Amino acid sequence: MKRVMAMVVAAATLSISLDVGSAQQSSTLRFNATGNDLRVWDQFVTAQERAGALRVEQATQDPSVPSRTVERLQQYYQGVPVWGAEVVRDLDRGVPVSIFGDLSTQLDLDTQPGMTVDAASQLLLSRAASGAALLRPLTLVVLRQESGEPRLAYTSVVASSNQVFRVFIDARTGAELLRYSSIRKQASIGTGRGVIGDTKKMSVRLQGGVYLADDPIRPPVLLTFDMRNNKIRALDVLFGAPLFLSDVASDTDNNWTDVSAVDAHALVGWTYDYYFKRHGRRGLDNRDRPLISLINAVSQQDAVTLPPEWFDLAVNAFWCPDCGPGAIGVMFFGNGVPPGLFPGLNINPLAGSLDIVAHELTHGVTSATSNLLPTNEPGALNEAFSDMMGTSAEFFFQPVGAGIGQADYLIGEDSFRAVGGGLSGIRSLSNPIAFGDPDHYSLRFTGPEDDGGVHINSTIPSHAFYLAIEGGRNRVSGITVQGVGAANREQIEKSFYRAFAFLLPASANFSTARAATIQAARDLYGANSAAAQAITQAWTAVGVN
Amino acid sequence: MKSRAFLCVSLTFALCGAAEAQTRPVARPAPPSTVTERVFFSAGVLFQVNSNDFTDTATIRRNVENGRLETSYDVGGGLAFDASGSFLVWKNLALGAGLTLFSASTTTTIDAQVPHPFFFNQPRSVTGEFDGDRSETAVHIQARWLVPVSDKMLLTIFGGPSFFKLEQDIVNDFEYSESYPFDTATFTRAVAASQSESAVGVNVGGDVAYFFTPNVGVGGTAQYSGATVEMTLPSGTGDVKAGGLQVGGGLRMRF
Repeated sequence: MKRVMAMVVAAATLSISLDVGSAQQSSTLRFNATGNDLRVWDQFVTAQERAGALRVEQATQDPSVPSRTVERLQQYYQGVPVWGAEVVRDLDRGVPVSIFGDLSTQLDLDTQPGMTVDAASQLLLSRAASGAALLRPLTLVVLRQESGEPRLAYTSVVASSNQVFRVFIDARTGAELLRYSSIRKQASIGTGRGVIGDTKKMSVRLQGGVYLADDPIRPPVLLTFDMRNNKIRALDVLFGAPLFLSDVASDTDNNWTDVSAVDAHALVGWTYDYYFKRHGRRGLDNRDRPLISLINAVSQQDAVTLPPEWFDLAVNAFWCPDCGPGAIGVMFFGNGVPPGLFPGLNINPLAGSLDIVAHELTHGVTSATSNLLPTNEPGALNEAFSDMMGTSAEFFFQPVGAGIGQADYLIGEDSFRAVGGGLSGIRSLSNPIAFGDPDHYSLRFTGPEDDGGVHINSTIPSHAFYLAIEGGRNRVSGITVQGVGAANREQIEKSFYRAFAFLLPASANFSTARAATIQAARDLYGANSAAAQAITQAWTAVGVN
Repeated sequence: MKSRAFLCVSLTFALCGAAEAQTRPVARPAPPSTVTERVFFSAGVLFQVNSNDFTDTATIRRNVENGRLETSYDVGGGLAFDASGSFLVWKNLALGAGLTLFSASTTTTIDAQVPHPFFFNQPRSVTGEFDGDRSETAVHIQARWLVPVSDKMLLTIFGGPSFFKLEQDIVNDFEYSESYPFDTATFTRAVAASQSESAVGVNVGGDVAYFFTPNVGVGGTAQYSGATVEMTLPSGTGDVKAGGLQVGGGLRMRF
């Protein structure tokens, strides 16, 4: 009873001070009413509401308890909102269940601003970088400063470039009182050593003292999840199980040592960059669909004992458009096998090859665009386009050469390393026959394996892509192609991208691809352009008419 | 241009004295060899002729990579207030003190190379300007040798140590805006702070005064007063010049 009386006295005091407060320093009244004192605080809140010192700004039906309504009441001082001063009242069919409040008392300040809204807006913008904009209407508020002194302030959210700040300026003098970022992500750049031993930058997020493979500064969500050598968990995720924050690849000092995490995270970012810079494309669907990668499903050591049907989890990489929670779409990168398991070939983590990473991401682009069917010639075009863009990403970022980490026309050479003088990689765009793949349409594979030869026959169009850039003579037809030259490779990349991403139907065959790429080159560079001629010659050289 | 004007003023004073000596050679008494007044004051305006530009190149760490911040301070000449007083102590020797106050706006050019957030060895160039302030306060201790040319004209040479206090806005850092794909960055503002450091230098110069009345006149001065001040710059400590060659003139008094 004494407590209730004390509350009544406090409420009465507050009521008076809210109305006619006299001290220059405000004080804070916090209350958490959930028990016997609820009635008193409810009366207090209601009284303040009637007096206009509190106004219901929001009333939300509680989704977890249908009978409840949560009211959010904003404190006002002489008609001006007090920033952050609120009461939250939870009502069960109109009866208060809890009331939590944080209000300012003893406010005493003149609420007449010394400058107009327009003048204050101009002031805010003049202090920001050129091109800045106010994302919220300028609002007059009472700002409770840490010192306790209330100040009449204008506030808005100012966006300039990639910075977004809420800024408060003194409504009389224009002096800046407070600024804080409106972006809740704490970006950080780290470094990491990748599969081939090179050092890359990692765009990550710091949370709770741990760095997460979550790129906060590229436009799409870009997350790399570490399955921590738990293949069951990896399969569950592929089949739709939820992913958690604890699944995100992490590092404690931002000097990353997990080579798969480093390369998957960095190279997916690079591939996004390639598409953006070269083709103006925003990721998978051109609308920044999330880029989700799974790594470390199986360790190299565990791969030795894997059943054959699971071996792909170790030695393959793939894009699965319907995998992951909510069918978000997932890129998967295997970790390879221990050195020496296969004579003459070491299979290192597949994320270590930029062309493999770009190849898988390009499958996502294809599934969002032409959606080429996955078998026979459409399937071979699908694989070929991924190899073309994978190779193009290499040439965009890496120095040209035949060594590790250099741009060439081999696919996967940084992961599939030949031992003892063989050829690294799994396919070649310049010399397909080196891996037993056809370099002419007459040599195409027509059996049912490999989904009708989608990987095998992919080298026919991808070899045409190579010839259109570099030029040269086709081994089978003997036809010589006048390529546009490496310096003009952008023309061929753009022509093929335009054809594959915009013009091709899902069931396109090689002949359709020929016509579409030639048309794309004509669209971009003219009917008699070098690009159009080179592409025409290249398709003819590989026997596609 | 202004310095030339002040030199002309000084020369004019000298010529006036000479002309007077020529028109009345007989009546002119022999120049007094000793100085009868004991206290001397001067106050006026000097023009600091030289510029004290300085540059700093610092290594900055951004995006886990070293970049570069070059700041170039354009510290031109300008007007300074100057005052001094001295007291005759022996024959023609006076001891005194002087004060020179100089302030100017300084334009700092910022030229930075900011590493890319995603890629090594792909820095972005960021350039901007910052308008700051600089003030120099110099207190001079002077031994002055007075040479009376006539009863109206007094030549003084002086020298001694100078105590300089230099206040300079130093650009320590800068802010820039950038957005994806981060291949460019745009300067938004400099992060600068006023810094105050002191140093001991020297002053030496000469003054010609022409007195209209026994006690009051005008004079012209040419002096060098300067020091090298050690300031904390983004790259570490660096030498910054203060003062320099100054010419000007003003009021002269003797008692």
